[in-house]
Amino acid sequence: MLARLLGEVARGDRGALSRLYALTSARLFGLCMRVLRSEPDAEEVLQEVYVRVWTRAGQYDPARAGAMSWLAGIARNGAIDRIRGRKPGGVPIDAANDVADESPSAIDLIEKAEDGRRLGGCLDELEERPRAMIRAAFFDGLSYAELAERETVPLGTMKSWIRRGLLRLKGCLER
Amino acid sequence: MTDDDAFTPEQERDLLAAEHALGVLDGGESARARRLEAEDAGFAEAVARWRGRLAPLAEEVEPLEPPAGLLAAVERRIGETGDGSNVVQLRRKLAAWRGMAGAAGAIAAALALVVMVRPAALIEKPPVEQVQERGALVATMAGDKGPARLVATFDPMSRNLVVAAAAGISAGSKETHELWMIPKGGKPHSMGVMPPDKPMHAVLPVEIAANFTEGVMLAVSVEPAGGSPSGLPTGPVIASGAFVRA
Repeated sequence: MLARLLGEVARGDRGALSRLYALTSARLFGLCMRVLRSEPDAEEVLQEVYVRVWTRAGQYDPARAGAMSWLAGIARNGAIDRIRGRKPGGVPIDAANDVADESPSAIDLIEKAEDGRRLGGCLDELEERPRAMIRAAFFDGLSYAELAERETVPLGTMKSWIRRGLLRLKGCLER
Repeated sequence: MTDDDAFTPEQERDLLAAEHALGVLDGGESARARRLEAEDAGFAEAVARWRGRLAPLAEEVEPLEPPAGLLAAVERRIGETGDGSNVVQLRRKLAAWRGMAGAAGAIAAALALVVMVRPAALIEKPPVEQVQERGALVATMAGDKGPARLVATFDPMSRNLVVAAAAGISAGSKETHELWMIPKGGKPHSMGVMPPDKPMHAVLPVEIAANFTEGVMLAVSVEPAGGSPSGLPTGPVIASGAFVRA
């Protein structure tokens, strides 16, 4: 359903964009609010998200990811870019994704995103700290150094928590 | 990392991909991951897998109804061009130009297209911190000696940068072309390695886009595969040019 709407948006169908908006905007706005914690910022990013969806819908490949994951990725990147835009030296997450877009060799190899319920279940299996830190990195766009500072632990400790958490997560998802 | 974390090289590599996908790296490590992602298909695949593994996290959050009128604002920003988006049209045009001999025609068309898309892009007032000047910018880059010729267009409104090679740009298998932005009186900043056989397209982050104004130089240098190891141009500059208003 969402994938078909994205196809119609890619062909320039404005009606499809408004149907897609009706179905997805509450989820994406919730995500923007979760990352930005500011209504004016979240509103502005949400606008940018749908403008971007309009221009990039043709790049959506149903073989690579679920439509909702793809849309959520654009919203998360937009929101985190906004946070990092205020910080000097922040790494633009969007540019990183553009690099991936340019790498044709990777495109055919990528599997569909794993099921969200399974990820949730696997996250629940992690110890509390790694789980919280992975969520904080994902939603707040924080780097190792920023997370370590926020939690007042040494950088090495923070890296160790997250790396072990990520490995365990992968192990769980592949079971 | 603490001493009791001993990972195999394969695990280290997969972890780097995971950290890159999660976005926790900064500085040199982040640059290294991005370079690997661009040049190493296996690493790019690992990053994509990790993005896929982590993506469902975004769906954890509670839905929240956005304010009424937001869709109307989106539609205004898209403009009144009707069929398809400007960027999509621009990409299609650029794709069609690949391998086309009439480079001068392509440049003229690129300029015409940018001029054409401006009014639609300007309907909505852009966020203040996003752009200093709103008009589209164009830079024609040419070499002193060689035949290299490239055209770069930048739309401050959407922060879309498109760089198309018109002539005389081909790299050996162990070389790449890297694009640099040189602010007035500043040091070159890498804009990334250019794809070998198609136009480069990027949506620039806000803080980099803020540097893109009239008079700012773009340059293309020849670098080892994966891009300059030092963060500054190391090889010969084959083309350069300054941005002017379209």
